[in-house]
Amino acid sequence: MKKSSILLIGAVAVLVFWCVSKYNGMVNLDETVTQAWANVENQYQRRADLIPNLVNTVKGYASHEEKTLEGVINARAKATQVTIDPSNLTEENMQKFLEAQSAVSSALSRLMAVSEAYPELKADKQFSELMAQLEGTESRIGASRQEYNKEVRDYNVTIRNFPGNIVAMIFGFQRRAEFKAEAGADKAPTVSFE
Amino acid sequence: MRKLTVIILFLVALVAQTKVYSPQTLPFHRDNLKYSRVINPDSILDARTVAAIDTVLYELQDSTGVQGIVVAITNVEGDDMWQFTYDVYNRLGIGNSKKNTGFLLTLATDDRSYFLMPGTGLEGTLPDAICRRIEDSYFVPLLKEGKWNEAMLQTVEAISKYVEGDETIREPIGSSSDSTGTSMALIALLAAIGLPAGFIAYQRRQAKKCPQCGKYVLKRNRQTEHKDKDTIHVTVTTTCPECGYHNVSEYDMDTSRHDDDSRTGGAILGGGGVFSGGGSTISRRSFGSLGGGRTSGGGAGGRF
Repeated sequence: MKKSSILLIGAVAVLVFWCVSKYNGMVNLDETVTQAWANVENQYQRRADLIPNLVNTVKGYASHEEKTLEGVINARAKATQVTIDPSNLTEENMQKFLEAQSAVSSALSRLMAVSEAYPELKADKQFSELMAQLEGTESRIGASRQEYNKEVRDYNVTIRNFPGNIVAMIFGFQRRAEFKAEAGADKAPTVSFE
Repeated sequence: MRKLTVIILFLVALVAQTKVYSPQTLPFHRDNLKYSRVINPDSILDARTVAAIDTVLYELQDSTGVQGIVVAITNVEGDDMWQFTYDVYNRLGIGNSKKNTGFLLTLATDDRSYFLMPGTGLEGTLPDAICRRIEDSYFVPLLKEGKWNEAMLQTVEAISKYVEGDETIREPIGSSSDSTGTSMALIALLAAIGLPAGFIAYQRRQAKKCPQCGKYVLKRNRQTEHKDKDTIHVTVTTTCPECGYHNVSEYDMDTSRHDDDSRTGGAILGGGGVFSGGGSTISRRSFGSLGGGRTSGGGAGGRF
């Protein structure tokens, strides 16, 4: 065999191995992003799970605040319906999901504002425990979003860097969307009696 | 010019009083963390309290495998105690990496903020409501009085008692928190002993190989006789019972003391001196390294 053809075969082999490792790396990062998103949805679900108990506790003290209570229940019901299949995580879907969750946040804020007027409710042990759980869940939502953004950035950088972006183009790796800070606060709204 | 110097010095002193830390600039040494789980760069907590807290945290880790860290500083950069606690937790990696049973208790005395953040695996034992309850019962009242030492110690004790009351996280005593770590260490140890031992055994066997028939049955006979004061005459007779191979080799060996001996002797004496001169060493119990665990950012915190 000619020396030049051996070199050529060697070079091609190296290129193929490099492509394979790049591809696999991107697949791994992609999976990590999907998992991070699943965690975000999980944390939002935890918040949704707290709401029925919270509504019942408030109802015990502020039964005629029907409008506010119903608002929370409805917002929660709507949000539970907007689930995203992790394999279909487009910017549009994410937007819909976040809007639904934002509505839940607003409804909860209104509920908190209303509770301020009922000192007996605030003194209720179960209420204060639920409040602690709610705050903790909001914090966890914030943390999961931060994690998600971090993974998305890693993924995006990897598929955009040269020469990896060629591999990304060939195999159809798309840019993924980050969480944008909501107007006002980076973290989900905290609920506290300060 | 004098006035300016005075003003500058005053400002420097002022800045030096209030140290602001970010999760990246919080000073700690991983080696130090093996002996003390209290990060106290501005000496807000006194030495006695730190030792007491470490005792509680050590007992806790020993009996349940839960790793706790306490941070006491004056100011947090950005005044966001949750973000600070979350980032520090991930930077340190508290708790076993598989079980994630760790917690971080932070206090900023100037900002008047605090947070108690459990690891992902400790959330069942230490739910947010319990964190809040512990803080409201033990932490905040003493913090409001400025009693940092008592507040911190009592809170750590409360956390520890609460966690230890939970049987589900109790690890069997003696099991390692990082099984892959110890099995790796065991393999390395066996290799370190086994490889040289195997090599030596191989050499000894090879020495028995007969150059004539190849069988591992060679016998050697070594005889010495003193020629003069510093020399001995060595005769080695090698025979093979299988094929009758026979060889005699003779040589002289110098038995006088060399300079090397005095050197080694000196080193031994010198080494002995080092040990005899030392004072009493306080036996420091070791927590070991942090496990690399994670948190999901829950827990409870607030201002006092």
